[in-house]
Amino acid sequence: MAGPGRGVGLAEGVFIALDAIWANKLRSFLTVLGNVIAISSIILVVTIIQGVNAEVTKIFTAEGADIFTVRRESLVFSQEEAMAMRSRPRLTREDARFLRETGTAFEAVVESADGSGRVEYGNESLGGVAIEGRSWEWGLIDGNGLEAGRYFSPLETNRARPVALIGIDVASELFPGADPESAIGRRIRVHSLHYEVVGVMKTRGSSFGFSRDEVVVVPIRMFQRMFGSRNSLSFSIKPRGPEFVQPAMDEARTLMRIRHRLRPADEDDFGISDSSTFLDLYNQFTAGIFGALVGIVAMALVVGGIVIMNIMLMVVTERTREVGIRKAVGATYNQVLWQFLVEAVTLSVFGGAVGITLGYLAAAAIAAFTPLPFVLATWSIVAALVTVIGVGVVFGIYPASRAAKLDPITALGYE
Amino acid sequence: MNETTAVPTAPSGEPIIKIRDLKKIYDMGRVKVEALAGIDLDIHRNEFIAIMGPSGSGKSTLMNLLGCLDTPTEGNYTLSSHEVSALDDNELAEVRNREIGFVFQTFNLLPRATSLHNVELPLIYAGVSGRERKKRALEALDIVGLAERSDHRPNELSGGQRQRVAIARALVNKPAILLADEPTGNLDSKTSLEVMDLFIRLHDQGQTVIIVTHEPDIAEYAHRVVTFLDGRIESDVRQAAKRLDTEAVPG
Repeated sequence: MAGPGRGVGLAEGVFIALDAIWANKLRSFLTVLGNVIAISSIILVVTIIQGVNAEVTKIFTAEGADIFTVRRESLVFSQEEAMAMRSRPRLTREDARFLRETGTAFEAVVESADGSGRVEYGNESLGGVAIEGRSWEWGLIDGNGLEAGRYFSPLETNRARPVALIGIDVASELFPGADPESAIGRRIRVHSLHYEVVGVMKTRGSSFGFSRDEVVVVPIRMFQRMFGSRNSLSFSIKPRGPEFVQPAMDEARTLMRIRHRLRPADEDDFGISDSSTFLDLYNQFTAGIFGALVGIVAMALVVGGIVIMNIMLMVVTERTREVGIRKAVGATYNQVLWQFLVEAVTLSVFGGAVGITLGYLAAAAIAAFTPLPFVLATWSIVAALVTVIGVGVVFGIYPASRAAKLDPITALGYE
Repeated sequence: MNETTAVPTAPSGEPIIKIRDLKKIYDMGRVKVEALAGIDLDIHRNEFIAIMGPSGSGKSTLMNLLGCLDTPTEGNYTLSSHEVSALDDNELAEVRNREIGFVFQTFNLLPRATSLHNVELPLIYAGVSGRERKKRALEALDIVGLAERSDHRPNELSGGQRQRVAIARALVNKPAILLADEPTGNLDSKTSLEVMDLFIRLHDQGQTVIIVTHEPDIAEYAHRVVTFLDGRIESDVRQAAKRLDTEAVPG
């Protein structure tokens, strides 16, 4: 007995459907608008998130994946938690010294504080430059390297010498046309204090379009002299080796609890995080976006599917006589069902294809006009196609069965 | 000049269509309409039959039953040794596909498809592969004299040409019977003659032809005329069929 394998083949069914789509261009486009919106938003959002992912991963891994940070603040998710942290003790230089002297798993403990201010040289003046206070150990863990000059010495950190390292952008803007080497030894003003440039840093590149080279690094004690010492420090800690990351984090936590005289039942009054902490947080965040996207897309697809179902019901009515002819010359229920199902799926996939193209173009446009990189995920296209095929089958089956059930005599008499 | 053939004698042997006490009753809710009131009819291979009768006489109902588009309420219908009254929808579709070639008053071609594709249609459902399909469809178009119009769509053809494409479609699966329902009803008299000439030639080549019509001058070409009235066979007459003057008809 004739099954769905015989009769109008897949290629021919698709051809019939494309022919009908072409014959009713505007109607076809409106029919699949739901699919177009759903699929283009999938492609667009996935592409943007992939681009942001690439940037974020670059930032969090830039400093070296094994380096972790001790801060006064932990990651918080509510106002109450944020308020509670205000009573926490500040992290001080003495805390850092204690970690260095007592810790066994640390290779380096860098004291850090960050601010921003104006940098001047002669008539050149740069506002809003990132100012980073660092202890000399920063030179040990900085993977970025120097274009010219040197890092701070221990003595310069401890005696608060006015020496500074400058980012490559600061160098080129304060000393236009001069090579990095010639910047060494020049005297600049940072936040109204005089400094001698001892080093020029290699480029750190940019993230999200913002240069990370507009920066001045000064000894931590000089930073405190400029910005006061009431602000908490944070400590960047490099373990003795990659296998010591967890022991070193455990040790830092224990030592900080001792230092802060916490009892076993007390919670930590400081936060420890490594790059994966932020990546995890970020991934949770993007998972939230994906979840919301799936919801929106599902709604658009249901609406799109219902429109496709309606149009297919109309198509079946319009082509009742055709169904009658096909049945008269021997088409079975399954063969007619198959033909209209292929047509519904083709219509749905057509919408999906338009959506993929629009989403792709929109993502490419965003990549062209913003600093986000263009990362097109192949899986998003595959997922989009599988989805629209599914929509076509689910919403096409009812109209197709209506066509397949038509009585040939009635269908042939239909005008 | 038209001529006629001698009155044929009733053929002997096993009939290709055997109908016994066939009834079709339409249930219209409160009333039941008896469209066929139990008829007996035998049709043999290579007969040329006209089925006549006024509207409501039951001839359309018989046509639907003969064409396996519908099933009888009671009685038996055997077509080329298939007991049709016992078949389900899928089996009926297969019998229509293999045993019956339909020709309709309104041609019933797929409007967006070429002549070739229209003729291929039954072969598609018979599962014939592409190349063989095209070859056989072209052969059928050649029989009706339209091989060179194979890539034309119905709206690019005259009425007579459309009906000849429809006849090619009916022939392409080499059916047991050619079943034509008012095949000249939408044609002018000249084109009607062309189409009738085609039926006569096909009959001469051995085809069994059944034409449902209410036009007596069309029925004149048949060798046997079965007339219906009120769901019963009123008369069943064998006659000397009128022949066309072939000179007057273009090939």
